[in-house]
Amino acid sequence: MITERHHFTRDDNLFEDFTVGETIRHPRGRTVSDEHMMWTNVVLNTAQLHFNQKLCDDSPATTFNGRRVVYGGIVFAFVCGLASEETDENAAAHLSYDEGRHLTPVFAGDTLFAESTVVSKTEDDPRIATCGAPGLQPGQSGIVKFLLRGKNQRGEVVLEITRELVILKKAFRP
Amino acid sequence: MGDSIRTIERGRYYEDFTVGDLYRHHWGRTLTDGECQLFATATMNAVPLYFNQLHAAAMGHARPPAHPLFVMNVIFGMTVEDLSEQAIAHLGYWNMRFPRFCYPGDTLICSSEVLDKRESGSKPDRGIVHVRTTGVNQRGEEVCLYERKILVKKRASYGAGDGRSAKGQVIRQGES
Repeated sequence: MITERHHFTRDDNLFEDFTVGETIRHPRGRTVSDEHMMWTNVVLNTAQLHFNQKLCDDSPATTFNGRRVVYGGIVFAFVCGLASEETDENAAAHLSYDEGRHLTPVFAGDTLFAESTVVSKTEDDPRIATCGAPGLQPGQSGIVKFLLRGKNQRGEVVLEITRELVILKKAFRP
Repeated sequence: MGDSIRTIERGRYYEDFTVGDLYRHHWGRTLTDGECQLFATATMNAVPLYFNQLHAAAMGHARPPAHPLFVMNVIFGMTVEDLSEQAIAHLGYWNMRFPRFCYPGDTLICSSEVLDKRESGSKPDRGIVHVRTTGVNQRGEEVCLYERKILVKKRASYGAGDGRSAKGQVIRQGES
């Protein structure tokens, strides 16, 4: 029996909890296995350099020296996943992603890590009203802009992207 | 019976893109409950909005929505045959927005416009194509928009076929 209100999110990742200039080092790493090919196929990405070793062997000049590179959209999703509990557990909407660059290729066997730097915060932005979150009332949230960085086991930045999340304020955590 | 062989090659080379072209990616895809939840959890996206009905309801959603990055990846995947099957690398993303949430049962359809193209400054066998992709739902409402830049092979250096199979559905042809 649930005797008190159960919150499904943490209470330390709401709008007030983010400090501009602070870099959050996310706690978990993730080693990428050949599973990346399954996700490439699940989303119907048909670019063979991700899943056809013979093609890579035959064309080292236009693949990564014959290695199957991990599809960037999955690197992006894995890095966001590593950052999720600290950044978007209490987000009402993902407003934007911008200036995203894949800077270093990722291969099976690499281990990914994530860091988020708080770039800016705002409570007054007309885009909150049109962010698509149902039932969100004025004053209940603000926008936090992060620079999200994914790194590999050697500390090389594999992905860099800015993201703006509409994050609930403490009083409105469900 | 016949002894003729038809070898199919998919994907556009650098020369096959014209600025102003608008491509309709032909598949379309209906999202299901299972894959939406699996994508969120398998990518360690520990956000209960995407896998907890009670929490989604408390956030004003009738049911858990699809994670925006699943929506983006499903749309991206449908564009590859037309945009990047002959790519050397996908360079990055710009101006990505999610104007509406998507839910299991929604069907995504997408199209892409060629915004710009330029030859590589350092390697003559490749060029960079800049595209904008727009994903809509079954009501035609925009759900995901983004731009990306693709490093793509030149047909002159690597092309094997005659380009017939690369054409796909071109809604509007840019002027060369």
